[in-house]
Amino acid sequence: MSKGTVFFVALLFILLCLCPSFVRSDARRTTRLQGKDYISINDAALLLDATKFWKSETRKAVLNSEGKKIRFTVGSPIVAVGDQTFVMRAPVLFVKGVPHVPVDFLVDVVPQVLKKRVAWDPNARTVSLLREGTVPVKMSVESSGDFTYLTIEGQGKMGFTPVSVSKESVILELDNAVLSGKPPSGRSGLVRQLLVSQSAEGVEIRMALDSRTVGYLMKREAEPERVVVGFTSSEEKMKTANFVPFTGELSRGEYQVVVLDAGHGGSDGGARGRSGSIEKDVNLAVAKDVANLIAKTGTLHVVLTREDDSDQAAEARAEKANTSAGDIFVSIHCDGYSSPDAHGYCLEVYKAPSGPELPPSGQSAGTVVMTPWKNAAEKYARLSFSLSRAVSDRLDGDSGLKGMGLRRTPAISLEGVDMPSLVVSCGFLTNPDDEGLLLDPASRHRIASAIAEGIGQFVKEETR
Amino acid sequence: MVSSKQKGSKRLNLVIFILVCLLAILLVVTLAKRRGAVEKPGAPATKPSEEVEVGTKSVLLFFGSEDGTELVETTRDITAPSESSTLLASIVKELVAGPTGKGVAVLPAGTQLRSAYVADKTAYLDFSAELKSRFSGGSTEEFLIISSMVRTVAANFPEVSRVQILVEGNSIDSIGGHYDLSEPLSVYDWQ
Repeated sequence: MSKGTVFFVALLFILLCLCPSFVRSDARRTTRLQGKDYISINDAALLLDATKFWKSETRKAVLNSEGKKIRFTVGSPIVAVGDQTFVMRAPVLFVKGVPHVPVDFLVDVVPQVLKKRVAWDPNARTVSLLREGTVPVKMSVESSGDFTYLTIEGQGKMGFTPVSVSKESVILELDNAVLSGKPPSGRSGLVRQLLVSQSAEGVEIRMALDSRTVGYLMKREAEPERVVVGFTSSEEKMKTANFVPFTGELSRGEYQVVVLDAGHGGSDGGARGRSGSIEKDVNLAVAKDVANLIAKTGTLHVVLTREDDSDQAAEARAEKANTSAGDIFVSIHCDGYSSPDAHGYCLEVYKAPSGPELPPSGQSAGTVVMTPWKNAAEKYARLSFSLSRAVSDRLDGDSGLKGMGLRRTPAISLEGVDMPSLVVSCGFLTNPDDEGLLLDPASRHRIASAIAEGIGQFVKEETR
Repeated sequence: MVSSKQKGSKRLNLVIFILVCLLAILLVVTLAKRRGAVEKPGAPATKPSEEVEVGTKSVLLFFGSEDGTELVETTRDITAPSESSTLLASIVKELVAGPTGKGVAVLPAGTQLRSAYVADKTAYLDFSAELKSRFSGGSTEEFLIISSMVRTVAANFPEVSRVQILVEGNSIDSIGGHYDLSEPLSVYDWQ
């Protein structure tokens, strides 16, 4: 055995080590021919797991996939499948001895005749076969006058979940979808920014809207699978065009009703203090105090979820807040901990739990149901934060309570509350100093004043 | 007698033969992989049967801090089998026993762990009635109880993504009315 043979074998070994990357790849490259994107018929056959026939005399190629015969003719944009014909955007070309078909064929024609689905990445210039059940989607944004529409077309039934639709952020999720083709450009009409991200679960679309936007529309159609999300900046045209105003984003001066919720009550006492104080009673005292202070301003109407020591489930409280056309919701609590060291006030804004409880996808036609009832409060994330800042500023000033911070939690008190909302824990009954402040009417009044002023400040800022 | 040159040549042939075999195997494997490239979606990976060995383990425990603002992390060495559910029970029992150094016990007095098991990426922790009946804290205490449990489970069982807290074998609405426990909690929420 000569050294040469050894070298040759070693080279072969190295080459074959590199080979797997080519052999294993699922994505096929496309080429640009005459200004359009094409793919060789061999690659198309591989992707579709089709057998290929080529008749050079008649310049006809046939792909046989899923029992269907797909016929191409070089120089013609017409594709015949069974007794159906489709016209592609460009003709089949014969380059370097191999017929090339336009990528359109895979993206537009294949979904109409085969079960397989293909996604095209125009940046990487590749097409790949999608896992069964994955739906390729195309997106576009058009605007005209006061209206802007995002159209999402899927080549199959899509899972569509509007996670959040508010003026600050629109988040839409498409389950098991893969973006095919170019994502719409960042800015168009009322859409200030559009970000599309792809994960193993599907596609997530995030949009930031122009501040002039006042309403939205969501429509779902089947055959072809399409979702249309529209936005408008015209209040007059909104009703006739069936648009819905962004709740929670009220136009100037429309913060009218403040809902105050004294936590716990009745058989639910809440936290217990060192000297026998019971949270439910302190909550009610503070809430009533805040209510009086706000009512005195004359500009806001106050609703209390409970006015006495009665049992009330969290759902009933949220229901009352919503049906009272509340604009702001503040739940008053006191805190307790296993160690007396813990002291200070805590604020909580709602954060929906993540997890498998995905909201159901929209129905087949008509307006789509939004976020699940429990997660309603999350629509007002920005406003709730703003409210929490206003309240904490005031509590830091004069209440005598230390600030323990803000938490984002799936607080039961805030579940289903369809307006900006906040939980305020006014200090620890298990801490002697805090308890003292809460049981003494004068210092308790100072705490209540801080909360009332914080709410007032928030309304002032938001209606400027 | 075989000459040294012939011997050397034979060895070289052997090496080349092995190399070619390796190439062949590589080729076959790669081609086979390519053929079966489209995985069946959703096919669960079969869990390798767990070997049960009892030994000393260093586990992470999270207790509430003195001032209720955060969790404190401690490491403890315990003797426990490596089987998931039994190990989980041992670890949570350490949590129930309370801290020996920094931190405070957050669970209500008398709370015991009745059972624990791991199934399908979810850890189930079943506590005695005291968890709910003897709870008299506020949202901070409830928050830290839940955080300490979820963090402890997540830190010691990276494959677990959800935790369900039960009381006397049943799911409950909440411990003290502050946080919804009717659905399993995601470990990502309670960091």
